[in-house]
Amino acid sequence: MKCEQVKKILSEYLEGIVSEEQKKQIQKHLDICKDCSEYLLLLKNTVNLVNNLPEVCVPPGLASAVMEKIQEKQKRKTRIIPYLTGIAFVEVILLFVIIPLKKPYQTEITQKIQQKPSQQVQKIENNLIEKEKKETTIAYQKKSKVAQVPLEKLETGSLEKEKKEIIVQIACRPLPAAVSEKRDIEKEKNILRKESVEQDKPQSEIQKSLALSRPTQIVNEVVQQATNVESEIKKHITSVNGKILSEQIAPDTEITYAITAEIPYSAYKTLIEGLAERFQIKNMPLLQDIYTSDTEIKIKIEVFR
Amino acid sequence: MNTQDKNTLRDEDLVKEVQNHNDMYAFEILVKRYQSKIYNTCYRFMGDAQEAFDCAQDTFVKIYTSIRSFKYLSSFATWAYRIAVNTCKNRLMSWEYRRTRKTRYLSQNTLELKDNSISPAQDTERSRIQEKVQEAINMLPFDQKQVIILRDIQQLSYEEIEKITGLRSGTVKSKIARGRDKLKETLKDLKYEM
Repeated sequence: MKCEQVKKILSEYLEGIVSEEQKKQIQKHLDICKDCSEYLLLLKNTVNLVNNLPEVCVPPGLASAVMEKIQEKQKRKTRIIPYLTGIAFVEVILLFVIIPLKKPYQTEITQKIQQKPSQQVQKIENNLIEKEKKETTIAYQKKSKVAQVPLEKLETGSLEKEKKEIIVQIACRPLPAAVSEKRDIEKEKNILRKESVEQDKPQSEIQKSLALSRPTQIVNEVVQQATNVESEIKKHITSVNGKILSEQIAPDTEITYAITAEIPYSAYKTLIEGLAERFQIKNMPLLQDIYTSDTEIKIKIEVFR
Repeated sequence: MNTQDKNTLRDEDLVKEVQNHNDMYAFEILVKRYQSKIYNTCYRFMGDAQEAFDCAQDTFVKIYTSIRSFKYLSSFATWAYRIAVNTCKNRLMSWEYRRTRKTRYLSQNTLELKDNSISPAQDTERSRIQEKVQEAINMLPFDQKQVIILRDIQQLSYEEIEKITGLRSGTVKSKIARGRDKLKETLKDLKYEM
């Protein structure tokens, strides 16, 4: 037998629970092996140390403490029973009466709760896509120095065909005031006519007095001009060799009239100056802001009420 | 049956009394009969008087609350030991115990031993050795500690240890051997003079 094998079963040998054959082999080994003999002595010493640990006195109050705790537990149990019964009763009421009543709301709420995460995810995804698009556009714009070109146009390759649209916003003279002025003149004329008829004046005199009463023609011209903003703008455009592309008339909206045209880049200043003589320019880009290598520029004139 | 007669009853009969009639007196007899064994086992597991008291108390309360599940498949003593070992195991593994362990060992209680026939000098030396042995036991892993306590301190048979721990015979033997080997290494400088 080897030392390792002997040491493994020395604990059992010490207790005398090994077979007779093992016992003989161990004794034989111990006679010749000093190391294993010493090991056995140390093991015996250890077992004796542990075996002879003294019995510890039980604290005097242990048994009574145990009995008190048990009685306390039993009392608590009997005290809890009525409460438990009450809770069970309330639960039954909730289960059969209140919960079925609230069910429609609950399903609505749960649907909302279930939908919420997916909606949020969709929203986040959309935001991310838009952010990416913006970033790509900005990066491209920085590279090619093309201002504010939407990504869709970059993707479709329509960049060369499309021209930057310059928006000029103008305000025409207050039309309602001119119209009311015309109405007042008409009233005055009617009063004059009535008076003349009552006084039995001849027709020629009536006409004379009407002509002298107010500068009717001038007023009529103003009204005419105010109502013909469109034709005037068109005139300005054609005077600078511009080409009208489209026009929109919407009298009920804030922008009553909008016209899109293509004009020579060099004629922009002249056109603006011409418009400024007649209309109040609300908003227009400066010449250096619309600098382009193209000879033609696209301009959109919006007329505000 | 009067109280004197009950004191002479076997464990199993007392258990029946508790099971059938919720006889608190019968249970108290059982507590008094086993309190020393259970408290000493708990003390060796925990290495602390207060912890041992709490664990022993919990053990008896658990015995009472689950006494109806006792099916007489083993002796009442084996069953009680099993509950005590599990209670100590749960306590030793608990987060609260591990958190306060360091401070507890610094202010460890002095033991009150049963043997009073020794001089103060001998008493001091013995106490020192016993403390060292207890410290060595405390350092053992739980699976080795339980078999060492049950075998070498409580002097239980291998069969009983198997029933209490639920381990196989071979496993019990090997764990005892390994536990003793570890204790031997820790206590090699101490000589048995008790």
